[in-house]
Amino acid sequence: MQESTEKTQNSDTGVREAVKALREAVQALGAYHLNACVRCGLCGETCHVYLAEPEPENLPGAKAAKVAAHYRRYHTFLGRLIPALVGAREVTAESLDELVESVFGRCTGCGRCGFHCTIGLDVAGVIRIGRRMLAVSGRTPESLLRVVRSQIETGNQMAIPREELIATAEWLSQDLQTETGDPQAKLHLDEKGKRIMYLVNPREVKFFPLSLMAAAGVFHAARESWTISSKVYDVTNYGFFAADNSAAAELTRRVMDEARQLGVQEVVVSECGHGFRSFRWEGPNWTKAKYEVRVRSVLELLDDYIGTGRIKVDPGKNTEKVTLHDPCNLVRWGGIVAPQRRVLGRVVKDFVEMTPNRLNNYCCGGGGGMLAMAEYSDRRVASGKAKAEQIRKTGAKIVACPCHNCADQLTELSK
Amino acid sequence: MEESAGYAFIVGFAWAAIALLVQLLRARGTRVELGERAGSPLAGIAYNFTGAMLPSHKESATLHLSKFFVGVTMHIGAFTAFACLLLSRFGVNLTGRARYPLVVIVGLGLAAGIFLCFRRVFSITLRRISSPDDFVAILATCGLMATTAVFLLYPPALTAAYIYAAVLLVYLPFGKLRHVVFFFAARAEFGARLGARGVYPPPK
Repeated sequence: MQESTEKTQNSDTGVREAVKALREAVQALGAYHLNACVRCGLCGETCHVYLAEPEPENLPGAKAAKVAAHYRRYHTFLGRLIPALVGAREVTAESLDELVESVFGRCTGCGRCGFHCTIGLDVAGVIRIGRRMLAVSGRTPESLLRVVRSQIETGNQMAIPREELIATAEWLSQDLQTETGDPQAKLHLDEKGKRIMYLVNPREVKFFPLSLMAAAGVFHAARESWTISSKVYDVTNYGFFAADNSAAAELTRRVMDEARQLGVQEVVVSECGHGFRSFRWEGPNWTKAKYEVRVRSVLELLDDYIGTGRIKVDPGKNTEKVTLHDPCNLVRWGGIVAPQRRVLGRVVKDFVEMTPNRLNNYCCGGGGGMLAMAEYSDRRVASGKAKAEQIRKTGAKIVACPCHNCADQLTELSK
Repeated sequence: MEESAGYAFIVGFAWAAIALLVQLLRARGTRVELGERAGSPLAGIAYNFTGAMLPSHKESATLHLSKFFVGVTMHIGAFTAFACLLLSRFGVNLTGRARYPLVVIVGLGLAAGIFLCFRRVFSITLRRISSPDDFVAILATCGLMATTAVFLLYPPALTAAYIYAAVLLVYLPFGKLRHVVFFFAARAEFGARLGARGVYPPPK
């Protein structure tokens, strides 16, 4: 099941598997984007990695070209006949080793380049094909694979024991009852027949339990019918970052099976960019099945609660200047652009947008699994320069950030 | 001789059209997006060919305005050159005074193409990511505009222009010039996917 965790001892086998993965990707996803790049070189400044280190290797077109070169070698007439003419390249152990740096170390898959490409090429999609080739050939960075293994083997990326979540939920419930004065207020665990199953980031359980309590408080105020599964609650999906489609599908299936088992109508994804994208958009494709339940972001739910008056908010409690970071997977790839703005517009007094924003936002630099890959931490931090500048220019004291990975990266940048 | 060359041009055009169509069909993916739609794929496609292509919406244009307009000028020149040959083949007389604006358009396109060729030669970044085919593509396109411009100024050169274009059309489905169709396919596919996700047109 965990393709990329089975180390490939024989590099030839890895090469064959990579070529096969490329063929399968071409068959499934199509080859329009692999054929369309005109090497105009105008994509550099759209990329936060290139802006931090303006060298040719960081040009989005150059990164995608490494994958496209392999495509041309096996799938185009001239690529087979006169590879040197069209820059086609045979897949070898060496070429795959080179690819690791380009697609894991120099790209977060944020997709900003594709949105500004002269052709309109899905560069991030091409990069993902490269990651897929590396996944099946046993070349995914070990640091990333560890997280995937943890998720598959323990049920969550931080290997938090179930008992810890239950204990945390108990004391949070007590605090919530004290805060609300309502003895019925609690974190609902494993309760069947509720309307919503809430997925959370394990980091909330481990490091930020008060954010769990905040969510529970909101659900309580909204008189929501909700539960968290103590067995299947992790909103993240590192199979997505590792292009390990089997792992990604397995994690999706577990969530949907649990949703069915608990009899909920809706799965609500807490603040996680790639988690939302994975469960809302990519999951059905991995599992090759439409969902039986609705999947929404907690931001959409909050927007509903406030918009319909189910919860009352007081912007007077938030008077400091606040800006908003747009997580790439949530906004550019997920389509959640407006709800968080409506929420902020109602809960803060002084909201200022970054420039650029929405679909044009800069990646924080922490996406694509970067935070898990310590070997690229220097570049990860450096590539956050564009985002740091954006924040600085707003003069805001608070950055609202609906993604835990982004929040980690921004915290590091703020130091 | 001119008539034979004209037939060769049409045969080359038919070859390129069929070969590219076959490539497009073979390059289609089989996967169907199974996520519940949040928007319209058609609206996404429409936006990706209109709003998303405005220079003001694309940093590849706004941050490189001069190069963007040079590129546009080159493409307009190339398509105008091709259109001139096609029209001539079907009996439209381009030897009168009407040809002068066409000469200007094609000539500007040729100048733009030559600039882009030099840019690719002298830019370290572009040289790093270019293959010989990238140079073949720009030189071939310049050649199309040059031979057409010569024909427009000296009508007996039409035979040579037809033959040149016929050879270019035979090569077209093999190299980078295939982006003439893959540009549309990639943009349509991406637009559809983003439209289904409610990303395009951009939500307010």
